Amino acid sequence: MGKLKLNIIDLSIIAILVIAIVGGGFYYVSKNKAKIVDKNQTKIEFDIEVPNLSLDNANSFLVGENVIYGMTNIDSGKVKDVKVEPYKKMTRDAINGKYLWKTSQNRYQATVTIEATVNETADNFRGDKEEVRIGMQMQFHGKGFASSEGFIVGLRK
Amino acid sequence: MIMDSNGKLFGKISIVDIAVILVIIIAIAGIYFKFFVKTNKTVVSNSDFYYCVEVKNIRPATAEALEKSRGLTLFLNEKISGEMGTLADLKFTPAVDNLEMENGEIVEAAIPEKFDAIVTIKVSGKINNKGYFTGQLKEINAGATYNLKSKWATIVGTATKVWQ
Repeated sequence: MGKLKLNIIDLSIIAILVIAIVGGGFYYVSKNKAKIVDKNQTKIEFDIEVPNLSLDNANSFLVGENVIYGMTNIDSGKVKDVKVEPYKKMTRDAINGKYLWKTSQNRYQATVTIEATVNETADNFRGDKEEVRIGMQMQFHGKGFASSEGFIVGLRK
Repeated sequence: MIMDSNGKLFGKISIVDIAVILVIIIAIAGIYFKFFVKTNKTVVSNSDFYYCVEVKNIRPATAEALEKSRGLTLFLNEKISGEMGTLADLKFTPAVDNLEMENGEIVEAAIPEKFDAIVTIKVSGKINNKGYFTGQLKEINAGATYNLKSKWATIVGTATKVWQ
């Protein structure tokens, strides 16, 4: 195998490639650093209503426990409050032509208030990955409890 | 060696020859597209337009969150997002839905503690003879369903009319 020889043109090409890669890297890092500095950290509370639970399940959400919320398993918060009440379900009264809320005798719903620190912009409240808005489905889990059925029904700073 | 002292790649191909061939190919392609390919040019104007989205059966909390979103930007709540305009106006009415009774009659019944909303959205977008488009070229049509989000709320609704 012949010995690899590099002339001045080869060295120039390699130098240009190295400079381009290093320059690109610095540009990428500095751009992302600027984004991080722009973030405005805010403490928010949001309420997740979890429907149709057994009493044991409803009572498994404990105040003070840490939770991970959202699909990505990254964003975290703390349970600040839990309200358990009989499960209310919309039903049809086909005789009188009405919609009615009926209260279950043996099922419950829990409203779990989570406190979290997120980044506030003009357009959203966002943790590391998850955006938080009223009306969206939000799963969460903590030590010994989990929910995948709840919707956010309250959001405040 | 990548390029030798005569400017040849791997000692065989001249970089000048490659450059000349590339220029000729680009020139031929340019002439072909300019004179032989018909393009349907569409007149596009940047204009403001409005559309209404009907949102059914929302909770009071969602209605309050929409009120907070007046004047804010709405976005498409999908994997590929985009601006969908500014929330210009809101009208709430008690929620109603069709209900089939035991005798087969269909009546309009109120849904307690829920609201229907008409959300009016202003877009600075593009209008042409094909339709109304947002700035990021999302087409807006009456009858289409849109999954939208503001800073405070997320909603799903059907556009009921689009006008300039």
